[in-house]
Amino acid sequence: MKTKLTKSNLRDARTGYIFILPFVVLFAVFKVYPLIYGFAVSFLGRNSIRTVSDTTFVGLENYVKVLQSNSFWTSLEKSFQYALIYTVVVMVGGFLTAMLLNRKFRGRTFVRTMAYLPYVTNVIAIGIVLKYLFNPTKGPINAIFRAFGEAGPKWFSSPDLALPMTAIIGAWLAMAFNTITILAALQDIPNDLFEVADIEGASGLQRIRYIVLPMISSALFMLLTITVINSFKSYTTVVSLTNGGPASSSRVLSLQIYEDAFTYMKFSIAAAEGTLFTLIIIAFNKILDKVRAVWENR
Amino acid sequence: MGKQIKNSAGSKALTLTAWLIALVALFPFFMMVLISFRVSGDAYEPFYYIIKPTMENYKTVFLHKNYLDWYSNTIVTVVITILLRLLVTLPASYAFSRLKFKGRGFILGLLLATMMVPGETTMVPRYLYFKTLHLLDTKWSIILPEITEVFYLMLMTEFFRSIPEDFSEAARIDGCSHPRILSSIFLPLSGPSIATTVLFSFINIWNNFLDPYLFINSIDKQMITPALKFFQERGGANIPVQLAGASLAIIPILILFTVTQKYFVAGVSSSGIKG
Repeated sequence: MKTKLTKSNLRDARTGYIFILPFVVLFAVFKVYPLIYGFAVSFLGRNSIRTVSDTTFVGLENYVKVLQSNSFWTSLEKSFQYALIYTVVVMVGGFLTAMLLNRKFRGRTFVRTMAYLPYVTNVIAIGIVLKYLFNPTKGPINAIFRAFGEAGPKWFSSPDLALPMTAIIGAWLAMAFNTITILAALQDIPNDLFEVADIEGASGLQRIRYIVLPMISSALFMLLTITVINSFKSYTTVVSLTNGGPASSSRVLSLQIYEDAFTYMKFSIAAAEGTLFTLIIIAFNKILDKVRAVWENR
Repeated sequence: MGKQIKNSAGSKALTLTAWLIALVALFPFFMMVLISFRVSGDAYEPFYYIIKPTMENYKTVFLHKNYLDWYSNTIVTVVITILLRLLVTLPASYAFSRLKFKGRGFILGLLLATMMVPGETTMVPRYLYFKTLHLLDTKWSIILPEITEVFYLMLMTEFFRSIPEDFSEAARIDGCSHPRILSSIFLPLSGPSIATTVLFSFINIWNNFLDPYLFINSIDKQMITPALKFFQERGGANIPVQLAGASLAIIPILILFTVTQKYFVAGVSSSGIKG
């Protein structure tokens, strides 16, 4: 009996490796290798169209150049500003929307469907109509301001608003994921807790503070992790809405990387920026994990 | 919650706010479709301004020499990717959820860890690497990296874990092989999970901008989403035509989403995040 069991265990293990092999190999070739390759390229001298296949090792030269350039730090700061606004809007907005859609009211199914709609569309398509709606001189939104004798904000073409606007639009498009997850977590809260709250005469805010938030805190922390990861994916949103402008006021790091690589052909510089950005994001996530662990063990 | 505030003014205000969220979400789509039926000169008239709808913009889009190419390129890419993704992900998920082998937890952990690296930080090495593989300017530059997405691996693994152990045990005792158990017991049970995978894959690949924008150069080989940007830049300032192009480009996902909304909600809330 015992030998038979180990034999079948061995067979199981072999099947296991065979079953994961295609996934792991494709993943290694197309997902992991580019990461390592980027790290390697960042130490080479591929900084012009003539040296695109160059293999000269230049040490830390690219990193020194990147760390000394103003544009790297400015665009890194823009990326973090975007990430911060995005995360706050997605987390708070997603939670509030879930609370609103969790109530019973007429037309709830329709309202929910509409609230999920932005999530399935892309910002390139919807960006065309958003730029139309927010057009400062002719758009319908500023028509409301004009009705009150004001010119209204310049939205995407205002240096102060361009970045927050793109972050808010990015967040609005992504928010439904959080809303749906929180709605599911809310279903798991035992009803007796609310019945007790009814008897005690707790206010709506007290319910949120003492029942809802503690009961869904683990879901919220998971969502925070995912939201923070997604908050650094700003390229498509920025390109479609402002293209980094006006006057590079919304030029996030990924735009800088794209430009350095594909406009100026400084591939190794761009690879160094990409590697630094990856390391910063990983470090940032690690810190967040620590904060979470401290919070949960308090 | 809040039974005692039912029908009060506060409750009405909350319902109104919920409706407002829905209307704000719907408004851009409504305007997109509405303006796409106007002539260029009427584009900025208010939304209640009644005009005679024109089909000219849609005609312009359809007559554009590449629009239908972009559409069919995207559909072909989406279909191939989904098939290969399922083919590779299903056995891997079965192994991670049911088979014991050395390094299982370690490999799964490693796969998960890479999820936090955004694709845009690695666009340069991916471009240079795909160039050496001669993948640039082909749909394979999109398909091959898309086959293995950890999100779907987790989705299926979580689902397979929820299938009672007895099912596979009984089949094992009857002498069923693992490929057999996967194909004749697990697969028939996974309809909803597969539907979720198909739906999310469709939406994500259809909406992918950066990868095709980076890797595909020839305009006739481009995918629909990055092509919209091209269409916008080269199509001149004709907003109704741009909006007609954008409306047509999001119709498939909107239809798919409304028809399979159940799976969409299930997919988000079952992706192991609920905690």
